[in-house]
Amino acid sequence: MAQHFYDGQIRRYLTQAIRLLSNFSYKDIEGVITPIPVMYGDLSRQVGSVIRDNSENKLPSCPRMAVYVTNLELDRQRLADSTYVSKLNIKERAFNSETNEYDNYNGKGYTIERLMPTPYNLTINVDIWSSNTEQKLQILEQILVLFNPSLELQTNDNFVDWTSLSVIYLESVSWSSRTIGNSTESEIDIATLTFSTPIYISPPVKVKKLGVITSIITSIFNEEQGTIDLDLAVPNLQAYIDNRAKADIKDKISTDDDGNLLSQHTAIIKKADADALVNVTPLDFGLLIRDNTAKLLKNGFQAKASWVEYLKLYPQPFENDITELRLVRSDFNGEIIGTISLVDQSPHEVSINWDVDTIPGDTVLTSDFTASNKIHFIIDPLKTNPTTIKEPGLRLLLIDESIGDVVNTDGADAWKNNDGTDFIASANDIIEWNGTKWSVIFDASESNEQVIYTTNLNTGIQYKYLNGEWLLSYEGEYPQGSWRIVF
Amino acid sequence: MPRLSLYKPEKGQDYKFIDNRIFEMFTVGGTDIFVHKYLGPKNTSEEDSTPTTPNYNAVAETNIQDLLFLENRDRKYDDDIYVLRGVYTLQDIDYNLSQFGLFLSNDTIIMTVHITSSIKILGRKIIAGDVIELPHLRDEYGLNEFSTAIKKFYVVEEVTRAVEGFSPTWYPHLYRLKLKQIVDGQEYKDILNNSANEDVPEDGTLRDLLSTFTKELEINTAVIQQAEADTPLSGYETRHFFTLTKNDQGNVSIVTADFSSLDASTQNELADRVMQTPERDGYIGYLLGDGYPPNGEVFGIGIEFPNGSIEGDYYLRTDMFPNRLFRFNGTSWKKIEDSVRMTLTNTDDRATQKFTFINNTNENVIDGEIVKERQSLSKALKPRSDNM
Repeated sequence: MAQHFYDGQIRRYLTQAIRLLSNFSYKDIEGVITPIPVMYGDLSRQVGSVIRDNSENKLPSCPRMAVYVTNLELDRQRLADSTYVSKLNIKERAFNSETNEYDNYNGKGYTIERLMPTPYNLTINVDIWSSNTEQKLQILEQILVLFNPSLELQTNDNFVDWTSLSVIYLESVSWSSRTIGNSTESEIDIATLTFSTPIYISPPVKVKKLGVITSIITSIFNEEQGTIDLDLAVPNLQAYIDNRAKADIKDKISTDDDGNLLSQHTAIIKKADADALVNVTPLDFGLLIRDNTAKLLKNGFQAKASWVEYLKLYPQPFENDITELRLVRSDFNGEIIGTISLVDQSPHEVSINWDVDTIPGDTVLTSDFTASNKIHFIIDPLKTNPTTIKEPGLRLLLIDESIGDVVNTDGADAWKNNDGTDFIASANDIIEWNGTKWSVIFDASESNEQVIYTTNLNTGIQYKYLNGEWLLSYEGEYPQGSWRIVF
Repeated sequence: MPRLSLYKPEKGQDYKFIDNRIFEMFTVGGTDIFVHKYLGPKNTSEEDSTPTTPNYNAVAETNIQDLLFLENRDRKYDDDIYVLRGVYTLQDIDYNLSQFGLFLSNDTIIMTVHITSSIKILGRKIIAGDVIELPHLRDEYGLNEFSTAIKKFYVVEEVTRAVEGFSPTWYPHLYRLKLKQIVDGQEYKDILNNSANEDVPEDGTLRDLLSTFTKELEINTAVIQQAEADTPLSGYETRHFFTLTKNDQGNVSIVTADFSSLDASTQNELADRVMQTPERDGYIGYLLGDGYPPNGEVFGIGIEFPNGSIEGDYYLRTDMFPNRLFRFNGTSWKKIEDSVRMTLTNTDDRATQKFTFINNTNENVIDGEIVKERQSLSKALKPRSDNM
């Protein structure tokens, strides 16, 4: 058995026909205006009894109008391609379920697929019962003036319902049901108006998700060859998600004159090949990832738009701690994923809760004293005195400058071991204080090919050693095309 | 004149003897009938009178209200109720279901009443149009909420002399009344507007008690409400749809103000605004203009444009018909749409082009004289009486 469907389509035509004939009236000699009830004519006997209060003494009111169907036939002249499907793309305003109101930004997107409806001609009779001729004329004059030659009949105001608007034609008027001068009974007088209306009966529509372009995937420009591969412009099976164009991001760390940590940023979005996907987000914003927060960037500067405003450009609703931020960069195989949430006091930031499974783990560095994958500070050994922070197990990453030299006869006192010997380490080394002396636990000069990850316990920021320099691991500035929002 | 003849040219003692016996018979065996005496059609006022609907000197049974259609539709009935006795044959009746509900199929009663007593009580012969209530047919067990029983009313359609009412004197003693149940119509308003229960007037009128009018109007109202729920206004509802605003380059038009220093006094720059207000509705179709800006943007209403507007402000001019919505583009107010959607119900404020000629209470002052704008075509600018 097919699935049941019923939309009350003919019922709505009759409802509107009754509305169209309602609210007319007659006026008596004293100027009293009495409305004329209009009802469906084919009522059931049981309801008729209820209306009469189950009493034969009840008086039927007069005048009255009754509306009923006399014919419904297929209109072959209006038949069209029965397989035609009309598609309508609609964007709805966002609906706030807390206030039960529509907001003034975009919400869900829909594609409505409508199958060609079937045309019919519906014939309706309207019987007008009046108790005297003048009364009948009053009623008819009010109705007949409206049909010149037709009236619109609209069954609903839904924009997507292409069958809702029809017309109703007055086809004929039967003046009276009585036989003039040839009756012993005073029959009630009924004038009959016959109307016809072309209608459609529709099957249900298909409501589908609208494919709104919030992220454009292109694979036209071949980065390697510097050519445009038009034959690869169409989406194809090679365009896998792991073949995205990735940003070559370098946030090299250094210190300023006062020893404060700085980072120098370079980022280029690059495609591995012509098939690689480039992600284009709304408004081409870049992204600055710092301290587990993200800020929107425009031309390298913080964008004026807040995150609340920006997220409204997407059709999907944003959910704190559910909506994801995904980053792609050339030195990571997969995407770096974190859920984001709005920061009340800082509209231009979202806080990120990283999915640790998408971030590389820190590399454990073992010494004679301890084994750890973290460091405590990053310093320039010529600008920062470690004396006040020295405690057993302290690990430091040295950047910019080396400390000590084999040719020195008396090195810097701040870096001497307890036995008075000088300590020697190079820039980019990780050193450790074991309580009596310093030791190098990561010798950068011997690890050019090795990728080392470590997290600064002082800031919580992860760094990596790659190709002879220390960089921010995944934080930094992501150019447009290297990040996206997933709802 | 023969010595032995029951017929006499004058109604003699034989007639009176028989007539008294018949009256006794009606008194003993008949049932009460309450007669609402028809006094005549209500008089057309002098200013409304026409040759075919004249103004009479007095209300009288002999008056005819409409000399063209030959009908008395606004009938006046005596406030007093006259009690007679009548006899009729009871019969079983069935309901007929018609397009107007249930009707009693053969609810026509042939009743006989005593001539002389009825004339004595009524002051005249019973005539067509008199309404008769049969108290023995009151229905105390209807579904109505009233404490009063539902009464049974008939109207006299014909009055003739009953064959069985002729005595051997050849003089008639009985009238034969053809009675039919009345309807709640214009003709019987005078009766049905009376209180259903004089002791409890708050119970309502006889119409409230007897007529199906209220119930039918409730049903009609419910159907109209359903129709209005289906189609509140003509045309199509698009207010819940989103319109994307584009700039000259075809990109999304973003508000470029610094959000941290918004002037809260400006109309359209909400704190969470990201895009510029649309220059037009994003949906095209028949009767979409409703006077509301796209995307539910805020707008002003009035009869003149406000000062100090900024780009993107909307304003609905209510001094224009139909009301017109404008948008300020920074230099001028551009028309967005006209508010053309309106109710499809025949209300007294419906303002389609056709209904502005019908729903019209305007009055114009022309050279100091107040002239009603709505006038019948046949009466507009007719010459006045100038005693020529």
